[in-house]
Amino acid sequence: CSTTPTISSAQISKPRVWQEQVQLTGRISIQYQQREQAETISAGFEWQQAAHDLHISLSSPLGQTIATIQQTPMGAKLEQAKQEPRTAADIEQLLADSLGWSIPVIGLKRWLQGFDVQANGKTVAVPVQDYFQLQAQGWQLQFVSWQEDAGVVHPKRIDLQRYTEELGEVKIRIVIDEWK
Amino acid sequence: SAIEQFKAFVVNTKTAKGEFVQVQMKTTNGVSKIGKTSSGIFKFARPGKFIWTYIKPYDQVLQADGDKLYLYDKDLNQVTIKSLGNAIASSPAAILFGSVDLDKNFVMKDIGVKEGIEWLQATPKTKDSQFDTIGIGMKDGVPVGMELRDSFGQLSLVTLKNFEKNPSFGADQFKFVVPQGAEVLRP
Repeated sequence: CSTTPTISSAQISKPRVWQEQVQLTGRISIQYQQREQAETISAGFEWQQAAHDLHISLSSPLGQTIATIQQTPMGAKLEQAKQEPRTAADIEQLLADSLGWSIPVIGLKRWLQGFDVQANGKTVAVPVQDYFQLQAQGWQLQFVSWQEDAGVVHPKRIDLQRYTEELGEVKIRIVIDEWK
Repeated sequence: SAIEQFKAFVVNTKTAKGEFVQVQMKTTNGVSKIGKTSSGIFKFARPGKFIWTYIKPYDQVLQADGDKLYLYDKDLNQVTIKSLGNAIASSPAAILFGSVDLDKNFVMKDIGVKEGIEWLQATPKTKDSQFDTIGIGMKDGVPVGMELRDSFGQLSLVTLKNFEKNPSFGADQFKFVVPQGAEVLRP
């Protein structure tokens, strides 16, 4: 496979700190089963995370918004083109209602930045190693590659995988482009 | 008028190639500002064959061979394959490169001239389209710009440059070849 340039320690000038407020853009592909039928979603995404709010929007390659998901302290709302909005208590419930399963939103809040949550609730940094693997919340994660942005290192590509009896296999692949 | 220019274009332009710049406008509570900008090259051959290649800010290829639609993303290292069917019936690719019969899929109307470019607006007749309206700017008989408004009100502006009419392409110019090592997702 292509040899990605390893991040030299000289580049890592700033210590890595988990940010509660962050704005990410990138691309995501999701493979899952729905009524024994293989489904794929391939889209660009925007992830705007604040202390108590999270706004995710998915768009097609040509830039058209496919869906937006908003989580505020009052609840979560899913809006899709030409469809009635759906609401639920939180994003994971909202997605479970419409997809039958949910992306691990709470986990992603850490993993997208290259961190993980320990059993005691402590946020810890994941080692900057290509193909680093870890297991969390029933998901098998692989931090495939990393990138450096203004002295801060964070993940470039993350693969997630989960197998359950009733849902079969769910495979998610995320590439992060912009980081603000 | 834009519609006259466009209908002539659909008839007299069998193939084409050129470059594009795409600017994503982000509108949040009424204020719209420039979001993501991407650029690349395109080729097409009627009906229903095109290659829309993003070069910046990342490598992504949207290719239709007349039967299937392929999306290859280099960073994700994956190819997603979808049947062409009516997926493109109400998308810009269908208008510029697709079937000749546009009146079946769109309501078209002239909306005037801006800086020497005659604009038409096409509204998809199918309800499930991702677009509310597709604007096409015509100049000297070729499309030079598109304005794509999605059903969330977000606007995507596409500029077409160095438009070359009726170049000749090799027989399998639009045949998709899976890049080495890429994973193929086939729903």
